Amino acid sequence: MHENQGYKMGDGQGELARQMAEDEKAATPVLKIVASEIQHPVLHSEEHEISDGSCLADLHKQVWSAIVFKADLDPFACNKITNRILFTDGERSWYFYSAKIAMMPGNTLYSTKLEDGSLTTRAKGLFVMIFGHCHLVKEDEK
Amino acid sequence: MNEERPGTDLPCLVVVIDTTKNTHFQRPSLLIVEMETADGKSLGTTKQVWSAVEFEAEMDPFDCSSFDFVQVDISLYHGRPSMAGDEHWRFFGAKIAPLFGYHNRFVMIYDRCVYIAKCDDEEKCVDWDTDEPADA
Repeated sequence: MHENQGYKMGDGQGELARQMAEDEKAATPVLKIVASEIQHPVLHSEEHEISDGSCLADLHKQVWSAIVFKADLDPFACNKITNRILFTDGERSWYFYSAKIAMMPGNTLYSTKLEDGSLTTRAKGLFVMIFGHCHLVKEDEK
Repeated sequence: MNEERPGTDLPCLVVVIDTTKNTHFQRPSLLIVEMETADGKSLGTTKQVWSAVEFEAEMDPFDCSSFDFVQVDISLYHGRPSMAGDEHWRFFGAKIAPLFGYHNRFVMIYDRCVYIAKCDDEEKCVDWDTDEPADA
């Protein structure tokens, strides 16, 4: 299995690229997350050796590994599938599509008061995100 | 490994983990919060959230990572002489992805889960914490 840490999808992937473009167009709700200690996205693709001995990545067999990160979030608000998540560590930002977030075991919850006086529950610690695809946010997209 | 269930558009997955070879399975944990008013009075209701489950299994990541699974069954085979010693879990609304940097290690995020007690080949779904019957 090939691991690509460039986290940039190649061009010209036909149906896959078209589907991703449609997902991105349809993804209007954005959840913004500021996180630290982000494990950068890694794309795995299956490789086939071709007759000349070189390797060819199978573009239909690609999968992103999960991302583990540290954040302070409302765990009840982020565990449903979210169309698009803007994710930043202060230096870099990514858009993640079709993402689902959950706490890693061992986090503790705490209550805090919002400005309107209502109570909300949050968790500070390690979270994990599984997503369909992602890309780095360019300067002009911010 | 994927099996299509009649009447559903999305796939279901069965994972068998031999704990004598693959040692890692982090059991599900549920956090429950009692809803309160700003002055600390209980509203009599709770909200719940399950934490992610990490596990080690010999399966193809391309076979399981692109789906939103309706149901994922995880059976843990502990290598005991009696099948009664095995453990069965059922997860609903699940997504699975490989964890970077580990061989054969995956993480699963899901909406809810039940523990399946198997008695004489009959399935009985129970709540892990209370042992009360649970709907599958």
